Amino acid sequence: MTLGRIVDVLSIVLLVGAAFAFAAGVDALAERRDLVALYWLVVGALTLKAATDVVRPRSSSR
Amino acid sequence: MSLARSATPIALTNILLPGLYAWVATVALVAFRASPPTWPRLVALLALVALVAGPLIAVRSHDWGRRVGVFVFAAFCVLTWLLAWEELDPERLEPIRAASGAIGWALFAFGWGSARKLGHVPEDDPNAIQGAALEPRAALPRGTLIVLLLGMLGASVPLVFAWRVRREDHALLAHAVALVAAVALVSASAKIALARGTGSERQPGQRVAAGSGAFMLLAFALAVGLVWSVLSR
Repeated sequence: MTLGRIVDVLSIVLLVGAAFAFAAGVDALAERRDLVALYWLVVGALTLKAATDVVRPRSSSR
Repeated sequence: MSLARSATPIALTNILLPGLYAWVATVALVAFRASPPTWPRLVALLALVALVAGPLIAVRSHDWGRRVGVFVFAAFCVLTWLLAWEELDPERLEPIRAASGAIGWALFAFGWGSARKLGHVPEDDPNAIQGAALEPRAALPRGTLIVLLLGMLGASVPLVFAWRVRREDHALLAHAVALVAAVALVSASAKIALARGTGSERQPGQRVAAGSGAFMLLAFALAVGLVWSVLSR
């Protein structure tokens, strides 16, 4: 497996991780644990940002 | 393709069946439990009349059928909910029925849409541009659909979990958050699915470096979570 392929797999793993984090956040909201919900939603957003940053094509304007 | 030109029993069923289901699950049950019941029931029945009349009118005039079947029906449904708003308290809603009612509404919307008729060749249309078929410039990377499906599956989980939130204000927030999360997940999965294996201009090291800011923040958040969970035990 090439390094590029490993980074591809990493982005998919991060995508799945973000889905779990968002689900945990909404679930915590249902369980009346608001601070925990906020924490998981932030983790989900950061995980999703990391997942897309590693696949985003090079910007030509910068 | 309009309903006026394809008023088949299947086309009518595609509209009426999910519409009827959505009406029963989300409007009729609310109206018939309301107190006092007179006005909500009357308006709910008017919504039913509009639902049934819409496709029948569309056979003669698609525009008028759509106005009655979609806009008048939806307006009467909203009016029913406003008249019976006490029944819409999140404490009284059943999550499964509410979620299945939402699916019914989505299918009802699809029913009023249009699709290519079986056996119909688009090129036969007089407005079609003739000539050689346009070939795609590149093939999709392998596993594109799997990544996209993963994203859609992941997006559906928060949407379902949002129905478990019972507190009134928090329920609205949960649905809004779940919707934003679902859109973000599907959008990100499409980006990842299309970018994979396309010979990215960047080296793997550069790609990881591009995500280093988000990785550092994520690592910090996870470390804070770990410390928090240890301290709160």
